[in-house]
Amino acid sequence: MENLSRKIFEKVSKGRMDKETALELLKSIKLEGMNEKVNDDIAIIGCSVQMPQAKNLEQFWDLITHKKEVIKKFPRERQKDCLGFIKEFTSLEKQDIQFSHGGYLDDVDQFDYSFFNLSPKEAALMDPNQRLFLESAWQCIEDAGYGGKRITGSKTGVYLGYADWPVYGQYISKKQPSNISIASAGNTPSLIASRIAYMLDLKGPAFLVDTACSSSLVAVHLACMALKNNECDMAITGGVKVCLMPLDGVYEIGIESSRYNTSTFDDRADGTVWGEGTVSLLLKPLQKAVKDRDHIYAVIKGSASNQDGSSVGITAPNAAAQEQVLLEAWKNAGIHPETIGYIEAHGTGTKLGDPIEMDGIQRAFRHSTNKKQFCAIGSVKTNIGHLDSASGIAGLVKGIAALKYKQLPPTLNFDRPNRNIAFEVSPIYVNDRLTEWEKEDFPRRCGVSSFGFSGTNCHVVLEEAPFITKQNITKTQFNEMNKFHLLVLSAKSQSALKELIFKYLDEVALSENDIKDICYTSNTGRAHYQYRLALIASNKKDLLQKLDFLSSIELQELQNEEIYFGSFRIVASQKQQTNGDHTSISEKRKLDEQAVELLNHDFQNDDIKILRHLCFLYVKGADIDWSLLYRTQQRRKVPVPLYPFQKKRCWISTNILDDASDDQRISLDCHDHPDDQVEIEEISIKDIVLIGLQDGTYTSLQKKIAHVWANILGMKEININDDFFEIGGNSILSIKMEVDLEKKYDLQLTSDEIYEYRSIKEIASYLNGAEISIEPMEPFNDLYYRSCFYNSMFPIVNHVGGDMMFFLLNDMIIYEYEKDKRVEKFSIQYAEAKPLNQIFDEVGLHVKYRFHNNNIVEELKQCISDGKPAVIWVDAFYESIRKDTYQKQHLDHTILVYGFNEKEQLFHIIEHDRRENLTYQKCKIPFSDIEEGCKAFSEHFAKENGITPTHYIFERKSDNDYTQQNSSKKLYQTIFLNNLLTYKDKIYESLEVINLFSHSFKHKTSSEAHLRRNLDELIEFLNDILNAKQVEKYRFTKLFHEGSEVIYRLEQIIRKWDFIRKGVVRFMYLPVYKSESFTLCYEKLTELATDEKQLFELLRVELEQTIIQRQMRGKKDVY
Amino acid sequence: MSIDIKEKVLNMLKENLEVSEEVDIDQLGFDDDLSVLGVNSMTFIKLVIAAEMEFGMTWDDEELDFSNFSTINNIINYISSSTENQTLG
Repeated sequence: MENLSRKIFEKVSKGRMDKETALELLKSIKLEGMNEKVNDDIAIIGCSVQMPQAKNLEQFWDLITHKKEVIKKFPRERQKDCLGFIKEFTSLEKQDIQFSHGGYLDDVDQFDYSFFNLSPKEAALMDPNQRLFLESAWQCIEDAGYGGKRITGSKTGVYLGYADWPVYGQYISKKQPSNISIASAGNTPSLIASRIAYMLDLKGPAFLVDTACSSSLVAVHLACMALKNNECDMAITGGVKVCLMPLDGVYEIGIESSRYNTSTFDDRADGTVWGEGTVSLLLKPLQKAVKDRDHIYAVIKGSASNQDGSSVGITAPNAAAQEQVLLEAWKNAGIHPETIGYIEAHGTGTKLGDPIEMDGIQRAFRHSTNKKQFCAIGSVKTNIGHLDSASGIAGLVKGIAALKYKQLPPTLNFDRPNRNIAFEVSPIYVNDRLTEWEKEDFPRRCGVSSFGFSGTNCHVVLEEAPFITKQNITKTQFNEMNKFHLLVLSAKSQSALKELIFKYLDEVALSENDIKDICYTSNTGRAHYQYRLALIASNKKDLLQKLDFLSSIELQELQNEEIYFGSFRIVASQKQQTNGDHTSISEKRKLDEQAVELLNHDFQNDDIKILRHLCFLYVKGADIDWSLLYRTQQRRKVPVPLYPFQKKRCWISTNILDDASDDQRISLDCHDHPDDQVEIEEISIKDIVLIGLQDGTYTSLQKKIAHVWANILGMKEININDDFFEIGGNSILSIKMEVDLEKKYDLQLTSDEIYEYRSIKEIASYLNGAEISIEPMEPFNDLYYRSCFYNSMFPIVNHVGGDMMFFLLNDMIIYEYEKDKRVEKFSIQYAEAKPLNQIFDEVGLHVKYRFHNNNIVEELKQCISDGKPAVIWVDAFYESIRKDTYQKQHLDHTILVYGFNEKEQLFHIIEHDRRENLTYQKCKIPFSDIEEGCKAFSEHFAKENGITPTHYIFERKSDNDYTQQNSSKKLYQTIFLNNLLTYKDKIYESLEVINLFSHSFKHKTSSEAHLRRNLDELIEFLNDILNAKQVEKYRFTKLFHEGSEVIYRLEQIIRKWDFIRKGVVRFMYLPVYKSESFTLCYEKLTELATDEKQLFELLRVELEQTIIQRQMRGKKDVY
Repeated sequence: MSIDIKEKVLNMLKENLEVSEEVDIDQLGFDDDLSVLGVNSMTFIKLVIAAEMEFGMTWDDEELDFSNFSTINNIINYISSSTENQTLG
């Protein structure tokens, strides 16, 4: 500036410039300040405000312009939440508690913990200051259009003014020492600043500033200094204040008003009232902000901070120091004080403080101007009270709003000026009504003061945002008048998404911003969550219509070419059931690649097909870099709706109302409990609800881990696919998990391993030693059917929800008699009505027959990993779990394999331990046994390699290929009667065989010698008969009602067969031949020949009658 | 008397069943299901015959029921009652 002025003087003296022009130039240079100063101005590009009755800047300005005073009595609902603190930290008796008046928030217990990946328990144990500022900082970043991953990893600093005693944390340490480890991070004041840095991976400095009342403004000043010094590229700055023990007469510092209001500069002023609120601002060098086309609220021209030093008393204000801080700030801003139109005073409203502040201001102005009453003054404390450490930034926000709305805000409670202030001769006037802020030759400017009880003073100079001409923008956009606008919205829950739609509907309708900028900011300036919506609109009206439509319907029902909805959940791999909204990592990668390909294509925004495809990919879960959509455009960031937090109550509460004694019950409140009084107690393993698996069956290990999680995180419902660190886990809690797993269940898992295996499912399978098991797979022991193959296969049929009755009904039991060269042979045969494969088909199974088992272990592992169980043929000689055959007898046999454990080299199988014991059980068998057993089967039993199946792999048919028949008695009866009639002749033939057998029996038991010769053969056949009869009985119970004649007759028959068998077996064990007992058996046998024929007739008649009756009934219904 | 029967029954089980090394009959509870020992309809007859010889009684074949052999206690009760009847009769 000096250089320029010197040149002007030179020109005047040389007569090249007239004096008037020179004077004008010099004056404007003086008022405009130094142009080179512009270089380090700081832009305010994001703003979040939480004040009583004001949830954003607009509402806050509304409150100020409507001269609202939000001072009220401490809300009733909040009083009980504070009683515990009061009892713990004061000596007041309940009846003496007097809550004070103030500018209180309605609630400070509401918080969207799951949005911030916190557990309900940790959130409840977190200082409300930390919760409030976290939400505020998040919103301020979103407000600037930098949500999502936009500033992740950036050099963004956090400068927070905070000066409070940690009541919440102290209370927890004293009353709930067991929760200290979980509560520590949430109650360490410095983490109030750094938690947002942690969440977004911000690399700039993050710290608290404590200079008492001036803390937050000093924080702003330090943030500006840091930006200017390149310590960071952006800075979040703010203040937070919550009152947890607002009591009359306690913790007062002597500036409290007895009339419950703040009457700054008024003669009646007798102090202030306290208030609560949170403010966050996002700051950035102005030049950079302009270049990045950020939305700029206002500009910080300059700032300064100093100390009272040795004043009258350590807490008393000092006019000289205040004067000095203003002068330094003006100098730093490079402005002339005459260009300041408004000063937001610290204005505590004390008789002594107000005149001192005014004295300081006046003295500062008088250094450079004698003008009177040109600068308005006011204090937001008259509206909202004194926000202590957050008061400075509350004043700053008021200044920002005044510049944004270009109006001078009114101050309240000003009737008669403080008699110790001579306003009429000062440069200042008290503005007690809303007036337009007329523009002069220089930008509108305002100063904001905040002075600390600690003696640290601060002053900040604001200027209105630079006017960015539309001209520039339209020029560059001349060629990009695209016809279609793509907007994506997303949220962490469907309810939040729905709320977001409503917010857009409201805010877009009012917004004057270009729809292109609205879409651009929404798409690029927000995180993308798993509930997603994408739509294409042709203009703002169309957009609003679509939003309106969306607000009125269920999102799931959406079917529209220009509106897309989807929700998804990323799961680790295909192995986890990929149903419904599960997207595996590899599937997602494919979606991402498709999106990249589309966007890399020579892209025209007009290409509606590509836009639709992008919408489709987006709602499926693709990560899409939307900025690529705008790479040829010069889009601006504009304010668009913020994330609608789904807040729930989070509080440690105390119950001292019922009980005056010290053993007060302290409880942890979580949203689920309407009565708000839940004792801290172990969540029992029974109360835990696990979700995430389609079949809803969880292993006991998974339940145990869930039990530990539930108690660490304070939640009862857990998805076994959830990432510990996404639902509230952190490094401290992971250590607690390690300790609790060992303490409670003796499970060893280091906290390092927790970082590797993050879900309950992963941990469980890791602890199992890479165990994979197809569950549920239960042994079937109701019946031994035909051969080991069927019994190995039935659990699989049950597993896929198939009905094994289809197998049982398909087989007709036939007595067979063969005579070959005088050798008689009686046997039981099962005649199949339909081929086995068709039955597999009917129960929803696809069966792959395998004829080679040379790589059996790997093959089994692979198919089990794919969710396919197998039945394998082995030689039981190598089965170490068999008592009867292992290393004793070669036996061809089947085993069901449904799981394996890689670490222990074991297969999970279903098998019985010897022939006599037909109870199948789940057991484990070494890989090596299976390998040898299969090899031996191929060598000894397979008729010819490559022709006899060696194993069978079972797979559930997809629902599309198969519709399961509804099993019912009716269906069974129809199938069975059909088969019975088909095999009628064969059955008659078979019944005649009984007669033949009885003759044969008579002969074979006629003497001891005969009997001895034929004993084994007889016993084998009788055993087969009794097994077949058990099958028959099982079928009958499914075909007929209990107590029916058919079942009764069958039981009689079984008893007779059993009697005969006993007679024969008795001789085997005790070879004393008694001819009379065999005569008795023979008599029974002749009876049986008749009995069985009668039973068959009865069976046929019964079935026919039931079916005919059913058809008649059916016909009646028709008529 | 009843102690005597118990011992005899246990011995009878040990002699007549091929019990695996893992299952110790002495460890078995008197009300545990004997199917773990592999008792089925065939071995059941074997046990009946063994009991008849041991206790000098005869089972009426019509009355034989597998459920009478499902636990050690069942066997003992059945045997006690039939031997008593015999003495009385």
